[in-house]
Amino acid sequence: MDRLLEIDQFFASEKTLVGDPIWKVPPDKGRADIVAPLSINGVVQGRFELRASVPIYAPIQSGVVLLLFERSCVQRLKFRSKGRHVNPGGSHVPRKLRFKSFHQGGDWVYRWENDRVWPPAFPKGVNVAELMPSAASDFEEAVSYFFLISNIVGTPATAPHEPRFF
Amino acid sequence: MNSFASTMSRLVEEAIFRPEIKQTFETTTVLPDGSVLDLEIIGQADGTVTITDKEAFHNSLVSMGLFNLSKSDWKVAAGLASQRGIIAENNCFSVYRVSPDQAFAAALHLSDIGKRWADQIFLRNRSKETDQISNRTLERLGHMFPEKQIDRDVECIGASNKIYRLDVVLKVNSDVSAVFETVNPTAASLAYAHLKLDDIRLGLPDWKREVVVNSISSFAIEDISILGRVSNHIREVEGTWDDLRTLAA
Repeated sequence: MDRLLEIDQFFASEKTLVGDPIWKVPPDKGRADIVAPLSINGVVQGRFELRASVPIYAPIQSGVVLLLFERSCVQRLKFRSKGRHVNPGGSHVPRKLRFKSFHQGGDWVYRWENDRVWPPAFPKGVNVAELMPSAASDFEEAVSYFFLISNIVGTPATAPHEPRFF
Repeated sequence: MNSFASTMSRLVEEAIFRPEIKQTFETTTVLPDGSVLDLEIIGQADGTVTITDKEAFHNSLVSMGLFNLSKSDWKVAAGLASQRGIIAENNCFSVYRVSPDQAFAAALHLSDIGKRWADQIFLRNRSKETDQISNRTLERLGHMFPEKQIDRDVECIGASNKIYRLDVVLKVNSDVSAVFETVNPTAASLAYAHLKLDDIRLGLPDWKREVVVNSISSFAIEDISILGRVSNHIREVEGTWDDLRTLAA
């Protein structure tokens, strides 16, 4: 089956988190990561996985959630992004999103449906962003939105956040 | 070694001095469930000690899902134990009336024999379970696909040129097949399945790689992630397999 169609089918199906994934803190990294396999009708979808990463000690909480297919990002969300972003202007990009710029600290999402017609970008991952319809008050709310648009059922454990002010 | 020996001699002294208090000797022997073996030392009135595993080997096997250990399993234990003067009875390995200067050696023998027995039983049961899952996979595929599409014990060559024996293979079309690999939640099984499926993925990229397990919940999430990287799907042997029809379509 065509890979793009396979990913389309994956997004169209209702998915559940396998088990109760927990946040893990790599030694001396100051961040926590979560990796969760996903299943459809009880069958674990091998090449897909959900990943999220948050800085633990940052004064303002931020984070990123990704859906990966064979280790390439097919959908992601940035919550209070630490950098700027400008969308590409190719003809495949929906007109209202072409060259649109996003400022530091915003919440935006790179949706599969906005980028799937651009196979050369596939190994790099999705790169066309759109703003979240309403700003999320915390990371959990952002993750809930990501789950909603990705058709994922379940709630991951609350992300660790222990702000340290220097 | 010296610190273990001196700890043991201190515990033995205390056990003989105060027989009403059972002493615990922490070993470095790892049980099948990943925990570490503790031995119990009980002082006797005649100045000797009794050393026992407090059913640790048995409980470790039970916690790994081997609930019905048979009489023959305990016969194996008795046979192994008798070689070193150890008694295997009532789910327990024990050595009685050991003089203080022999206590450390007795503890070593008891740990060694118990570990050997537990590993042997564990591996035997796992291989029995793997065969059962493999047979059930074949049976379920037989209900879904014509017999000519299903093969058992097929050999294939991975990218490394290594030859692998595959449990069950479903011919999807003339060029593509789906490999069904049975995996159980042991390090050996996970490691071999990962090596095999990764080599097949590189050597035969069009082939589908399906992992069949008894129960997904018996695996750590991290292990499922690792298997997911080299397989298309991970499915329970008694789960829903309706998606396989589209695979072969």
